[in-house]
Amino acid sequence: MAGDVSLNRRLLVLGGLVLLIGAALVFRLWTLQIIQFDQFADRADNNLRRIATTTAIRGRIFDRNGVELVTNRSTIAVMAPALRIDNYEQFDRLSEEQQAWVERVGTTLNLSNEEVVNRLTTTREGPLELRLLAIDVPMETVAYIVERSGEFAGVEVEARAVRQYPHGSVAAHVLGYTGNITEAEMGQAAFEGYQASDVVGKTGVERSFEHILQGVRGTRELEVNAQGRLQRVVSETEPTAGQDIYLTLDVNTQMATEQALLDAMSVAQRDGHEDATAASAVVMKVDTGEVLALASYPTYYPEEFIGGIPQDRWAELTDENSNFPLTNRAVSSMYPPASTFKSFMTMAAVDKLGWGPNTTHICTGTWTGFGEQWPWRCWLRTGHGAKNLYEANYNSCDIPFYEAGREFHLRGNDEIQDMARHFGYGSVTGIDLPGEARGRVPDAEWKAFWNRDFPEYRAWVAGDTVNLSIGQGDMLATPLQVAYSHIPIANGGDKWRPQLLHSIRDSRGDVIREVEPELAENQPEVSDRAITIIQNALRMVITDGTGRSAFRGFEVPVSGKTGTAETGRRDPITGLRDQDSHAWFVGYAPANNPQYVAVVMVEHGGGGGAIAAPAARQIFAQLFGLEEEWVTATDASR
Amino acid sequence: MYDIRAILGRWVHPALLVVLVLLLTYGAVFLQTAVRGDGSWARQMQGVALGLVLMTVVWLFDYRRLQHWLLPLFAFNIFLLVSPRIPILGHTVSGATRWISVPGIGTVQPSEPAKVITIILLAAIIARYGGKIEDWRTFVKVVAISMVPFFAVMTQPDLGTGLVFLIVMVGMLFIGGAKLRYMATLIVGGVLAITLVFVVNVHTFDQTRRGGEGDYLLIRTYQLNRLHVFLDQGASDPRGAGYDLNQSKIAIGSGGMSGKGLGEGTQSQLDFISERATDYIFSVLGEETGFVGAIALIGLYMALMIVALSIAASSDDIFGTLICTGIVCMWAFQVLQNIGMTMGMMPITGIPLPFMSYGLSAIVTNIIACGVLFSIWSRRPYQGRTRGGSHEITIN
Repeated sequence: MAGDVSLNRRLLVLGGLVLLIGAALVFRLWTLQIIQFDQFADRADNNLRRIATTTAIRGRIFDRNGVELVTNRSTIAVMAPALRIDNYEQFDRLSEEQQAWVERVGTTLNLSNEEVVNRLTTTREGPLELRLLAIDVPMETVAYIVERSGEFAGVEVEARAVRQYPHGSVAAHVLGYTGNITEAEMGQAAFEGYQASDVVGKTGVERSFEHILQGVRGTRELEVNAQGRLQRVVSETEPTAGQDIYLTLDVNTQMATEQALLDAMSVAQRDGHEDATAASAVVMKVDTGEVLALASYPTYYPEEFIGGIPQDRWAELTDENSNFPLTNRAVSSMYPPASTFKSFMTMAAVDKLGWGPNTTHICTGTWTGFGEQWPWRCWLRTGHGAKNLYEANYNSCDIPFYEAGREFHLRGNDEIQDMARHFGYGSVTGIDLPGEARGRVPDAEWKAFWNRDFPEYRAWVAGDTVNLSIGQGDMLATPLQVAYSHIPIANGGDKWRPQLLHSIRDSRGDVIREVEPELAENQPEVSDRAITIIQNALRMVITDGTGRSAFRGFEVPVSGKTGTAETGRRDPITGLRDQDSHAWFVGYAPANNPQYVAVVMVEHGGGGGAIAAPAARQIFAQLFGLEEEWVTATDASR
Repeated sequence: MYDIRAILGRWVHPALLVVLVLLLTYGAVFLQTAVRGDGSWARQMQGVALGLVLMTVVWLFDYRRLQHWLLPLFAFNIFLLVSPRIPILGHTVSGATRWISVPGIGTVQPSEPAKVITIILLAAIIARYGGKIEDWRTFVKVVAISMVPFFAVMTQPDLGTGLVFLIVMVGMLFIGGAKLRYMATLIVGGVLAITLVFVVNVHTFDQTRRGGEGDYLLIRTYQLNRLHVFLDQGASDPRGAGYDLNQSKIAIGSGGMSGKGLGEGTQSQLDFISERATDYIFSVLGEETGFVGAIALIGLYMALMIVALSIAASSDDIFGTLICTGIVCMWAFQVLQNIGMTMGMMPITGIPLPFMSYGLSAIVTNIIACGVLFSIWSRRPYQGRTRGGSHEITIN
């Protein structure tokens, strides 16, 4: 048929079509490979590149002498891929095979089906990340799982470093605990750059020094295939371990302090104060503000939080019936400072009212400074008789302070409040612990705001000032504030900021930063005379007054003040107080050359002299290396 | 003694031989370096060897005798196309019954050799009319007979091969001298028929009867999905139905100008490309050899088809011309469909890429098709040249 014009033309048309197909394919190739090359090259890279992170070893925590308080140990975590359901209610949607898998995993790890599902349906992590099923899994269980990898499809075993607490619950409130970062925390500026899988400090110094302890995680750029399996490691940067921190705490003082609180509570309970189940104490150095011990009861074991605390246990720890063991009462709970506040009244009276040691008042048990119709009573109903300023302090007689309160009220200058604020009341001390309470120094402005919905109670009245004069009523302070406020009294006027961080070191123990003691920004405006007078008065509390019984025969001279705070809660029917008073003691020693200040507060412990002061004696005994037994003190003062 | 040069000049089409050797080499090298593993290369080479032997047999055989074997060929062809449906022979893979088990060889896809047989059948039928189909009755008759292999292959079902048959038929009718008016009517009618099938199916079939997962009467759900993926370029379901298209485009696009190197394609070697030895082998090639390598392959195809068309033109026998045309249409459509699919130019249909995709039946069939071309070339009118002058050599 060669030579047929019509046929050849048709063959040419076909040839043209063939070339057109080729041209179309080439054009499309050009578009994809040349014009859109960058875009597709990126997408190809994204397909196979994964950034995996290696968690840095968290810094350890030591006491001032290098005793390990928190360290790390390696353990084994069992991980599994997320389930493709939202929660346990959708359990039925899993295939029979998957349900059997959940059952098998649960049985092996001692978890209920619901717990397994809950742990494998968390949403904080990315869809491809493995979820933590259990941590601290015994070796036999791990071996069982590894040997039967067919039955435990997807389950992986991973070595992990977790926190270890060689001293159990000691200093639990200072140390705090760690946990997986929450979604809420991820959104906070403080946790910028953190990842869903990070373990962070939740409370205590774990939280406040989080950025020192955390370290810098390492990254591994991985190449994976379409199934997400690792092909090779493209690049790797090693993690940098977190830095170790040395606290100002002394573990021996801390343990003695905790033991003293335990003893105080059990003595108080034995003496009929059965509500005495909570207590706290603070021990500081008066020449630097370093915190040597800080304790709170009831307490908890930070170990329980490793790998996430079970929900029922969390509910227990935050339940009112367990009296909130997670609360650090030394910094977060506020109480009326009661008679411990009389020292500041005394200084204000000396400086502003011109009182001196010989300013004498007569206590008949009743004070009628505002008229016969409003009688105020001294805690000693029979009266103390004629008392000069020292005697008023060491017997803790209320009448002279009522009188001072009346005079201050007439002057109307908030001079009591100013004196309190000079010494740190009413604002946070700035200690490196989360959740510090400010306390409260009540004044007219505060009361008007506090009672903004109750117009008849808005006005600041004389009774408010008089109540304040004995540290009762609306005045509130944390145990830490009480200790802090006595540092300038002990050392003659220097207010040191509370210091908890002693130094930062690397893992070899080389010092990276040594923390210097720091004077507080605002120093108390008070005369040396006032300080000397109150120093003398506090010494006499121990030698002749409400603290004498507790400190009889103690080898080191102590100065201090007892306090017994009315809790204000009354039985609604009988009108009687339905709870015992809080027991306070604050003191420093040696009296002639003060080194340490200690505060003990026993909630509902009864009298400060009988319960708190002997506990403080135990603490001082440890500080000065004395062997001591609990001293039974008899004191009914307020 | 025969004059060697004269014999070579008569029998051998140098361009076709070169292109075929290049294509087979490209395919072999590429399958070995880029696809790797699973022993597919060795098996493919067995196929090439078998194909070359069969090619030689076909080459030496005078194709013109086939014209007289119409009925036996027709019966054998239909048998091949429905054979996967025969219970003892049939072999089903993922819902499609396209294979038969042959003892000693393994599974064979009979629709591959059936493509060449169908082309010969159609050529024999159309050639009867001497290159002119100028009345309706003849046209309709020819179309009706030509559609039989299409319906036979749709029993498997195999839409891809069915489409090859239709395209081949249209191309051969065109070369066979059918009036353009008839051709236009056929194409328009075909498009309308397909549209009607779609519309009727989508609107009448109770999809909820099988929980929304059921197949339509003639069109299957996965086919509708593929059409949908083609229309939106896999954008709406990149992890599901659109996965293959997306990954394939990423592979080809990221190959750039010169590719990532043989065996170095991340998309291909890390399993982002599924079916990388068969349906998506061009994605691998695009990624690893880049624009340069892909153009080279397309160039080889173009050369192959132009050579085939030149052989069509060289034949003084309309039967031979038609066979060449059918083979060109077969390759042209398969190349367009397969490569186009990997780049989102065509809807997804599993058609192998000639000479490149792994598959014994396909490689043997395509080499045999070349044998047919050689056979046709060898029977052209030829003025052989000898040392002493020119004289005509006829071999019958």
